[in-house]
Amino acid sequence: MPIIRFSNVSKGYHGTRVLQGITLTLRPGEGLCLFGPVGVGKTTLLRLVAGLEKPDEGVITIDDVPATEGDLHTRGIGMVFQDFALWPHMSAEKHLHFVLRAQEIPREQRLDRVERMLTFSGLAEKRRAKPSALSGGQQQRLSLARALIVHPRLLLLDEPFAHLDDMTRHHFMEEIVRRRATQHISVVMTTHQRKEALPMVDKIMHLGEGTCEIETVRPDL
Amino acid sequence: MASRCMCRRVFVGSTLLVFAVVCVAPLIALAWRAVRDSEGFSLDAYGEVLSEPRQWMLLANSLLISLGTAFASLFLGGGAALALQYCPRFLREVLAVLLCLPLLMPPYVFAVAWIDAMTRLGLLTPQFIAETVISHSFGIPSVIAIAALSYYPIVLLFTGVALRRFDRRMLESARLIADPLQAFFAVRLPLCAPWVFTGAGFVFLLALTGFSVPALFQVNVYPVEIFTELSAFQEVGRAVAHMLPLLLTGGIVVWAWGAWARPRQQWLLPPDMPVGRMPPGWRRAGLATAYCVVIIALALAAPLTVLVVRTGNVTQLRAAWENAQTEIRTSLAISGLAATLLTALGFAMAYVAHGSNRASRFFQLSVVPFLITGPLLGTGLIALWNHAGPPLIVFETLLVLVLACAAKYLYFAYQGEKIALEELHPRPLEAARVHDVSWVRRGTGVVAPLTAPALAAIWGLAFIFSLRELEASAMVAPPGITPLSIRIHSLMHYGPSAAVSALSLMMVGLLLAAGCGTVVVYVACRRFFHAYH
Amino acid sequence: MNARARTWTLAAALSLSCLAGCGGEDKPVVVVYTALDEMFSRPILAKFEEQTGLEVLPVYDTEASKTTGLVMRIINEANRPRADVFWNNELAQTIVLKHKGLLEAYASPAAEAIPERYKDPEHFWTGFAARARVIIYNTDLVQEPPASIMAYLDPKWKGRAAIAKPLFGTTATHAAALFTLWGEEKAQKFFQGLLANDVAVLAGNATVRDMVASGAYAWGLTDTDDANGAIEDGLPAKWRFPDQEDGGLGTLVIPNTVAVVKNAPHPEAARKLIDYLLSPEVERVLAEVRGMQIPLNPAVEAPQNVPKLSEIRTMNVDFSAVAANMEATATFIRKEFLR
Repeated sequence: MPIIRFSNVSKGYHGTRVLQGITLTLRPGEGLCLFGPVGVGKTTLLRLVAGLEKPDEGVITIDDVPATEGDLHTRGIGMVFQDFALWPHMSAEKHLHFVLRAQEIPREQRLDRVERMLTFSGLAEKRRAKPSALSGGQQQRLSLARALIVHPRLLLLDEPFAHLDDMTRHHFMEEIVRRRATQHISVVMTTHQRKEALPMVDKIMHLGEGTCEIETVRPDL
Repeated sequence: MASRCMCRRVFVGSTLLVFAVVCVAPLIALAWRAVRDSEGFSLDAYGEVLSEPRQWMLLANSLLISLGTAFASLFLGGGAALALQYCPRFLREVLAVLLCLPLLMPPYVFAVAWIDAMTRLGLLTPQFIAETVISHSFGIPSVIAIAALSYYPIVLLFTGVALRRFDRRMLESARLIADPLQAFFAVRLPLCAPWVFTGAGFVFLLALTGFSVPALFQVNVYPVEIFTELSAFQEVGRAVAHMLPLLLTGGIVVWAWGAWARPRQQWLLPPDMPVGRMPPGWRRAGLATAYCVVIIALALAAPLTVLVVRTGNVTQLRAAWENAQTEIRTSLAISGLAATLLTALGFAMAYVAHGSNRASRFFQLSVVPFLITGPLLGTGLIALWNHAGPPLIVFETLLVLVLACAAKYLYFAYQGEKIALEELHPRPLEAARVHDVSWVRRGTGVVAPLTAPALAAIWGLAFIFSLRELEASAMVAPPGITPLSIRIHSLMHYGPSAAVSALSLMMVGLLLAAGCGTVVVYVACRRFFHAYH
Repeated sequence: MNARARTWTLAAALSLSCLAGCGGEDKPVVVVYTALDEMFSRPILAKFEEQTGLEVLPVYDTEASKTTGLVMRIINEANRPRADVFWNNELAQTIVLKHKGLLEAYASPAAEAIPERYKDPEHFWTGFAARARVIIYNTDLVQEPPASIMAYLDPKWKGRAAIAKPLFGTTATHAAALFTLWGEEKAQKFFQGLLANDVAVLAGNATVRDMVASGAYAWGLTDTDDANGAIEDGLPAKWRFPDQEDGGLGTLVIPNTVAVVKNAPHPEAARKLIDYLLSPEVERVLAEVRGMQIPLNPAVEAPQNVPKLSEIRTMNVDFSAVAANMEATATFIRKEFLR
């Protein structure tokens, strides 16, 4: 499982420093929550970890390889975007098939995994619906399902439960905690709700304007 | 309340009336003319024409050219739009403008200039032209090549819209899972395809109804055949019979666009959402720039250089400018009036159709004047307006030319505004309804300002196409009223090539000014009337 | 109707009446549809304006439509003509208009000097300033130029000769003349022979000239005005009249023709213009320009390079019969010759 290192990472937009001098090491299987007010750079930091953007200063490495180098799709990342980033031309079922086919999962296995994930995420009856026909909550469930079905080594979650009811949120949180315990996946997530992060992470990074404080917590599930 | 209903009825009634006058009436007049010969009502021509074995050859040639041009334009324009994404940022705008400029050159001028350019460069010898270009086997590829080089900017523009609107977060989410090629084919291509198909479909229709380039290379296609029927045989009935396969083919493409592409265009962002950054790892700047430069050289540099060389010197240009003052003013007036009519009528039709499926279906007729080719449209206009009395206000003035341009391009103005309307966020209109603003005022006070950028773009494009229009205008231009396009073509056979080239350069200059003006107004409208999404 | 609506309606009515007023005439006009290229016809019409004070409103032909666009306009506008005069650069389409009843008879006093065979016996049209069909050949490629159009069938010229598309212009008239003279069977055999001998069918007479002068083809049929253009440009080309031997077919001489359009809006002005166009002065001007039109009036002194009508063996054909054969010829050409 990956080691994620933040080495003096800074990033700014339009002359404004959003992230400043972030240094942290996440051990294999650890969970990190990025916490802070709106606009402080939580999503930016998540995108830096995913390798979708390059820091202005410093470097983020995953297993000692800079996040922006190499092929993105070979790192075993599953990501839930804040606005879901679903593909409007694909049905729920096709979303899941596509990500598994990209991993060259054989057909029989794919069918089985897709069926189970659709059932798990409560989308079995909406399997043929395109995202425009799903409610906000259903879209978020699909986004989570898409991230989880690939059995990622590293799970990046940007406000993953914002549109879910308590029961569904709990349902997904349990699954993530279970995978952390059994598969030792690493988790980096952002949230406004501290309590929804606590079961899943070991550290909380409190981000302020150019500031960063690390709080160590223990998962209590 | 009663007066509001009356206002709405007046608005809808006026729109329907103007639409009927501009679009439907010339078609009815043409149909009447076509089924009546000297002996009375007759449909014999239709049976004769449609049962001739020659029809298969015409259909095959027409389809080959239209499909070939559409695919070639897709390759050039779609490829250029993608390539622009990877060009260095400081070059991108300049290359984009240069790539769009061939659209400003009328295809016939382009064809003649391009062949001249190739000959002067020694790439084409007269023997080669004789043996290959003007021959049965090579005529069709030559037409496709010329037409594609002339029309590819349309595909470029539509693909550019798709790429600009493309939410890169969708590509990012795919790139985390799949390799770049898989992500392209599974996500980027299907989402952009409806817009790209729209551009290619537009090119298909232009190639299907194009006359000048196939005539130059002596390829037998429907527009050439229609021209022959009218000119060599003066048979309107037979000419109209030849128009029917054109209508059918064009109708199928229009239907496919409406049924498949149009609903899927909404998969991409509405215009004002912020676009995410390009994922890292794409380094093809050199290749992309080279690709764009080659297309610009072929499509723009070569023919423009020939026009400049043939013009000779600035004195020639000045002389041509002074001698063509009347024609330039006439063309500007006709194009300005036509563009204004097209924009206003297109808006009114789109607004009426927005709330009425029946009206929407009726307005689909607006594609017919475009598909029936210029000479037939001109014949219909003459049959409609050449009568003593009030119709002379139209027939004896430049209004008849304005109506010719308006009839031909109305479909595109209407569809452009319709798309803009459908992309508007519903909240502003809902708010206006809640505050008891009348239907007419909602249209003029809310919808029109919010779709102002689209209206500006429609006006500009309508102006450009009206300035270039020739075939219908040549049929109906009143004596003493000569647009620039007719003047250029009048001189083409025997006029000094310097004068023809100078006038062609002037036309390109006018079109360029119109294009720049459109861009400026469009950007200003986007900033000033910021659409709410 | 509220105040705003009344204002808009009034503005629209005023605009329309202004536009109608724009069509009004301050001085007398004559409208001429002219197929002769603008660069030749415009100065002549300008001179007429100067001399008479009449304003001439010309409508020129475009390269795309080659005469037939104007003919179609006259036919389409038949119920209310806009043109007063039709000035054609050939005659078959003029005769077609006569047969359709779209011309008005006018015996111009200026036509007296024109030979009878170049005038309509019923005075519906008059010819002047003619062109002749000629063989143009490349002097670098051809030492002994062909003397007859039958050379098109000679295997020695297989793939080396060219002809303009015989559906429009003077080539169409020439084809119809051959059908008239030879009869359908022989004429069809001739054109099928052209196909079998790989004669190139090009866009027009000017293209034939250009292709022969550039060496793409050895020789072809064109008109005297196009051939003269090659000479004046110093290209390696010469021309000769075909079939000039005793008993030979002769060459087709095709005059410009003028006619008054039936129900012309300005008939008096139309007649004045026709009188002027048929004058020796105009024929002399047309002989002197690049177009090198051959004067039909024997009294007109033309430059030396312009052939005299009396020195040409002309094709002895009835132009009315030629015009009557145009449609049948065009049908054959389109079906069998241009596949």
